[in-house]
Amino acid sequence: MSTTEQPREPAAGPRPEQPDLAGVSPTSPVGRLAATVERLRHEVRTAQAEAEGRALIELAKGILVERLGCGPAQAARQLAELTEQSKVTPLEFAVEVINQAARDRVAEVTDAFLAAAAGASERDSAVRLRAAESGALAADDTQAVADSLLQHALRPLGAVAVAVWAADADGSLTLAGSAGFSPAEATRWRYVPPEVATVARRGLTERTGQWFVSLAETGLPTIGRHVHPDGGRVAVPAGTGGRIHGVLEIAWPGPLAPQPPQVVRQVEALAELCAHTLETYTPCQGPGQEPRVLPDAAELMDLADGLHDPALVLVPCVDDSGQLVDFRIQHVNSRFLDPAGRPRAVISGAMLLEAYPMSAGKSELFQRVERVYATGEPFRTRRMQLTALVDQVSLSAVADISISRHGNSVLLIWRIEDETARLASLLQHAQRLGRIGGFEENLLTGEITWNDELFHLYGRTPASSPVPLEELPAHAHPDDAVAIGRFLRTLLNHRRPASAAFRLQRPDGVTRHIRVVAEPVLDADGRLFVVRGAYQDISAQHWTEVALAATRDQLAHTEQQATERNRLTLQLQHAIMPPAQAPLRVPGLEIAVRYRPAETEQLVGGDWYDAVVLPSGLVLLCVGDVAGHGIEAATSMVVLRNALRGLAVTGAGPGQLLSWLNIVAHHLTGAVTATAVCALYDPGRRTLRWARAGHLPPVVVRGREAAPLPLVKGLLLGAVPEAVYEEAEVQFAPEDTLLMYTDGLIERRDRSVEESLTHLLTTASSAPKTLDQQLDRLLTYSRSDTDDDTCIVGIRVG
Amino acid sequence: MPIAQNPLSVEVTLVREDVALLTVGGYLDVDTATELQAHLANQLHHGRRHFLLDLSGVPFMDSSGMNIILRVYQEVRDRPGSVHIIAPTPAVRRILDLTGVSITVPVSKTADDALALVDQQPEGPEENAERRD
Repeated sequence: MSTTEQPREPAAGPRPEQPDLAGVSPTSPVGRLAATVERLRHEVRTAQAEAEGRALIELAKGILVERLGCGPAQAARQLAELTEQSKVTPLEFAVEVINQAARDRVAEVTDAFLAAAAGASERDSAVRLRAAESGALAADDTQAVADSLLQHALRPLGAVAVAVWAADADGSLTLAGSAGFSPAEATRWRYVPPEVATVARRGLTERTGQWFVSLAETGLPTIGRHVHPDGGRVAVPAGTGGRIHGVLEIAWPGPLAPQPPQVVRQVEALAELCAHTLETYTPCQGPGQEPRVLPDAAELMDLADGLHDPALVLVPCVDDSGQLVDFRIQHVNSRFLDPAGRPRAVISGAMLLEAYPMSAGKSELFQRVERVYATGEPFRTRRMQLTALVDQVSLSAVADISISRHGNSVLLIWRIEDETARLASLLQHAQRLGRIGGFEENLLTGEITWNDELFHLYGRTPASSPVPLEELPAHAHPDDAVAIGRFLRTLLNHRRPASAAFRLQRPDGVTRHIRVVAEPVLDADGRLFVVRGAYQDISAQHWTEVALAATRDQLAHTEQQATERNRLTLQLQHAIMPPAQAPLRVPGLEIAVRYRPAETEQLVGGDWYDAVVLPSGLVLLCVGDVAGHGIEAATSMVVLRNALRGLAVTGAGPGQLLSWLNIVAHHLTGAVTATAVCALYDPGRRTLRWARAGHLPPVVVRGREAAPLPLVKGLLLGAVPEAVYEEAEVQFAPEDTLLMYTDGLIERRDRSVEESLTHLLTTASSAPKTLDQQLDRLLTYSRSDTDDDTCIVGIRVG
Repeated sequence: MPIAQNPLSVEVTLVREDVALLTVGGYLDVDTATELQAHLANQLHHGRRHFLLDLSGVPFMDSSGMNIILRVYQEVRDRPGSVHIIAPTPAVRRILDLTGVSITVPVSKTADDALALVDQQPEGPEENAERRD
């Protein structure tokens, strides 16, 4: 595409030097692209030629040939000589020559003004007229010419009004400008159809100036006749170069006497001036140009500006041979939004194929425009792909298209589906990454739009029909029917945004976990008419979440269960053994108990104590410790404690009681072992008979001495079916204290039982005033490091 | 806590076809007792009748360890078989005495002493505890 050596006519002859375009038909999309490129190159060359002044110099040469009556070669020499003498560049001199020649022509006309009325303002008007002649004038300027003609040239002649008619090729006349007539009258006479005989028509058909003494005698209708029915009229054809572009009509208030020839010539000169303005009155120019038809491009631009959709006014662009090559984007309206996001100014004025080169490709937009222009048959379609090439990146958008021909122009309207089409195209990439399928469903028309990703999610080809929301349950796992039902009810019935997660069962047997999010779109009357939303494949995410949730549930369940079990254990213990028990009323004996649960709830264990006055009057004292922790240990503890209470009522001694208790423990489910100390205190004799089952021996504090009772033999409870327990008896003196405790009080891993016991004895020997204080002190200074629960039973002899 | 730094080690030696010597090292407590139990269960499964537990490397034993010993003791009672504790440290010895386990399970100074006791044992259910008390 960057080749610089190109034949001038791209369509003429084979182009072997263009291998990439060889054999390509000029009417094919690629061929059109090639032609566009060539035309652009041609324009560049032309512009260069102009820049070099070649064309202008040729023109100046032509003028010299005419003026000097010489041949081209002599004219060229003359031009060179004159250029040399005037010390300017050839181009500047050529322009000088042309300007001089043009000035001469204009002077003929303008001198008439200057002759009629001298003055600075008139001179200004003449200058303006010259400018109007040389410039490309629109309708407004023709109106200005009419005003000037009347004021500066015709009023001095006694005329009161003037009309400038533009002649169309079909024979109709259009009022291009007028002065001296009321605006309403001008509006009424803005157009005269062909073959309607008027004064101006007469001037057109006769091709010479028509001078009427009085309108009344002609009987011809014309503008302003009712105001000046007897006034004189003149209709002079306005032509240049043998072509009549319109008619100059002048009105006098009264009958017009025959005018001197110089006035006639002056009027004819004025008509010629009008011809120059009328020549440029045509919005479309160029050789081979079809005659313009109403409404013209200007009106179409107004129409386009009134539309709510982006619209482009296209005018055909033909090459030198009259071949249609492209359309110029004459105008874009205020709603215009370039799919590629370019500013309007860039698009307006550009060529269609340049601005949208891809329109020649798959989308066939250009072919459509071309066809509409050729046949006049409007074209409308939905969802046409619009592709724009911006910096070699093609950005596409889907749009509803309407193309229609109006006069010589084409109106192209597109409604891009999403106003932020540019963002949408970017979003598509993101959607693909996130596996998001977008949809829109029109509930009134039943029309459903899916993007490609959604077809992909559904395992369907983009050619297949989308699935309506209402049919969603049929495509989902039966167990998700409730969730989908709720989703649809919220969305369609309550008209609220909704979302649901469900298992999509695809036709290929694949199950995907999908989350659908949708929102209702209400029309101006609040009716639901569109639902749009997105499906997201959350399969991977879903499984992660499921796994997490299961773990979480399990943890929560376990945790909850454990918490409940621990709480139950604690409640059980508290119910059976209050941390501090109401003091037993035994004469001559002070009894205190302490129970300290394990600090950690799950370590709540099977420690127990008991202190009860038996029917015999003896006091049963007991501490025990079921191995292990938790609900099982606590349950066993309850069994053993109550069993011992019951057994004690028999009046049996502590050894016997432990033997029986061993049997109970041995037959408890779960191979429970426990240790215990069982003692019977006789308040009358101040004696204590005791036995132990694998438990730490009680400590006796006498005075400042603390000592453990001897290790009488006795196996822990539950280890063997039958066991025998040795008994011992201790005689107490007043103020003697007996302490029974569980190993939570002394157990340390880094120290032997001996050492721990020594510490306990030291603590116990520093006897405070009361028994309660002593027990508190034992708990306070306990050096246990196992966070086990701890029981202490203490008696002090009164 | 020293437990983590001192995991239980259990070494099993077959002194005879039906006599297993388990040399235990480390703290024998609630955290490690199951490991010893696993070894004992394995040997029970292989039909050993006599278990010699060398506890000279056990500085500390709690009720969990005690229960393991008592459990294997109950298992072998009817085979008939026996459990012997060899060279317990003073702390462990104290616990054994405290809980009365040493009443039921003989404690020997060496493995040979324990084997001698095994040889003396009559071919019938052990009646140590009952006879002593």
